[in-house]
Amino acid sequence: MAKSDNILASASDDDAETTLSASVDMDTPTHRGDSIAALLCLVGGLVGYFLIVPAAVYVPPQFAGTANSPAFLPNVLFLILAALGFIYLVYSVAAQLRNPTQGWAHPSDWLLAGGTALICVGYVLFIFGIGMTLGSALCVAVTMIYFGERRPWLIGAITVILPALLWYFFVKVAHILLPPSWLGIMDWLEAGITHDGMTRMAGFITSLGT
Amino acid sequence: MIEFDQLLQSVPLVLRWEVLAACLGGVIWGMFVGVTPGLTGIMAVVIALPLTFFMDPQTAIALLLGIYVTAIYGGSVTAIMIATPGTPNAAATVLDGYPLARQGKARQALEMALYASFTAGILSTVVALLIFPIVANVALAFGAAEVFAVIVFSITIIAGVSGDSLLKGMIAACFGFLVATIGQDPIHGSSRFTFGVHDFQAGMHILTLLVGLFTIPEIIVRGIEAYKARNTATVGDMGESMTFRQYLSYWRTYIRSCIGGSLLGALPGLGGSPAAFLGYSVAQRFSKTPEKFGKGSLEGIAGAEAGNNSVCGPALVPMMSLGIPGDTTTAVLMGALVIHGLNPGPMLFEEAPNFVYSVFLLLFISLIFQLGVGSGVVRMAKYVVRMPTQILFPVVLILATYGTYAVRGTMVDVISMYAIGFLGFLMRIQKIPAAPFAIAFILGPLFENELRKSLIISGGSLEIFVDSGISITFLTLAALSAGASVYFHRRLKGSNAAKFITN
Repeated sequence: MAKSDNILASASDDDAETTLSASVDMDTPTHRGDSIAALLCLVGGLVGYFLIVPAAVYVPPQFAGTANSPAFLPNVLFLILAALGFIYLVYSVAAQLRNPTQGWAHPSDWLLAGGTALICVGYVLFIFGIGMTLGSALCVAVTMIYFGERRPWLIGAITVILPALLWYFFVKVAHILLPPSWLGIMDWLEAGITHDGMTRMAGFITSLGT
Repeated sequence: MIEFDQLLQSVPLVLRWEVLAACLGGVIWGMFVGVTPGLTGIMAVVIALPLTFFMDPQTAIALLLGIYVTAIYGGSVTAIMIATPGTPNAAATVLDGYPLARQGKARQALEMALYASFTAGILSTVVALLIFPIVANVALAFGAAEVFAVIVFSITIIAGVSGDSLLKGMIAACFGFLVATIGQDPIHGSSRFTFGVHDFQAGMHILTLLVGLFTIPEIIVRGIEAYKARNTATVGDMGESMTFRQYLSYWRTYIRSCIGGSLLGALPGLGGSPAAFLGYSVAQRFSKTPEKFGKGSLEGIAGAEAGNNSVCGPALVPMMSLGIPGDTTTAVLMGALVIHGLNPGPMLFEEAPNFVYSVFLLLFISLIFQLGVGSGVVRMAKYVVRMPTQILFPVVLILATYGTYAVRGTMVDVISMYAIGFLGFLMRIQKIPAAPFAIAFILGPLFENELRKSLIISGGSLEIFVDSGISITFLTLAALSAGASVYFHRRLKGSNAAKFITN
């Protein structure tokens, strides 16, 4: 049993006091978490070997079963992963049996982490929806507020300046096309801000002055 | 050997204002590109290439060399400050650089990266200059089996960066190798794990993986901290400067990592990232305090930066002497020489010896300019550490997304980056170390490619790996290194140092 405790970082003795509490800090891995991770590795390795590799790797018939097959290394790796997952599972279950009262990481930490993850997912969806520039403006504002920033002028300034600078640098300087969006708002805006359009607008403003 | 008459004759060729100005411009542009995640050295050189059409050969190569040399160092600045490698070469620098920045020693980390880069750059260029033909011949002696042996030796570093649990390190490495197999098979070209997505055919880009693995988990964790601290959290403090004594104390590390990096630099197709990890590995193997690696060791930064920057000079040797580019950037440099009417290969030294020597002199000048510009960047970095976390990390999130997208212009990379990021976060919670994942991903394709090429050459026989002295030497070193790693790992197990490595 002592040996099993030593092989996992989470099962060291000096963590014992922390792990006795009902909820632990997110920086403290739990034995249950270890068991779940180990199970995922084991199942992932087996699923990879038996299902994913045959379905997702094309093997030319003349190389089937040889070390020169495109599936050779993935198969070996999935088997190793399954074997390591099994060892990991044995040790983590053993550690869990020894210390069954260990709880989960603090729920509020999980909520905060989940919120950030949700913002990231939302950001990607917004890039597809309203484009990278407007999506970034929205994302940076939401993330700053979520992380605790409360000064409106600062949030507003960064929300406007950062995406605008990035748009100018990537599109105009580095000539990297930003991804097209479903609504195509930036394409529409950019088409509106043509040289002729700007000239006409300048002429209109000048005429107002005179 | 070096011909001093011709070396002296080439001095006036490079000491012209337009050549020096082009070199300085290249260094500044290279630094900018290096510190911008997503813009790689190769991209910087390609963007600048059209400008060289209107320049003479010396001025053109001065501009391109300035970019080539500095972009490698520039990537380490963001790696240290915000855990985001600006270029793939800086992946190993994150391991110790970012922990140092969090401990309030960002200035020391940045200065060590700068001075180690400079020192190794100078040393490797001197080596390349002095043993120009010998290096070329040694590089030619490396076949697939020999390169495979070098890669196996480099892979043994995984044990050293696995922290408290070798088992978890091996699982992480397994993931890294598996992700590296996505895309076209290197020998037959058949698709693996692409699931019909065309953008997966080229595999996952190294920067996509590095940003996902190191930056996204950091943003999530720092977001939690920022929320709790409310306007008080910052990255850390710049701290004190590194002393000259500290710099000198790592002279053995510079030399050892430089030898490893120079060797990989001279071998075609390997590049700076494996050199950085080899340099880091060698530094850890010989260190008196290997337990400090991964928790914020200046020696670790010295090893990684000396490793990746010592690639530049030697990479030019096979390109100029044999017409074989050492990496993608030197392939573009080779193209630039051809555009200017020079033909890299065995005849270049006969036809234009002054030009060859001027290239090496320009490397020295680029490194000196890099030292000056880099010192300015170190001073400016204080603005990053003073920035509150709740502003810095949202900005980093946006930069990481743009940077990942810019590499290949596909949203598949962005989605992959976030997917790897969430996986990295879950790994971090369970203390499964990220470094073995990254190392396996970088070395995995080289490992498989050279293994399978060797097996094809030998008709499936494993004897090819013990046929030459070079491969026997490296495989023996790999076995010794792995044994030593396991031994030290058992000694360190459960210690606070090992936990820090995992953290």
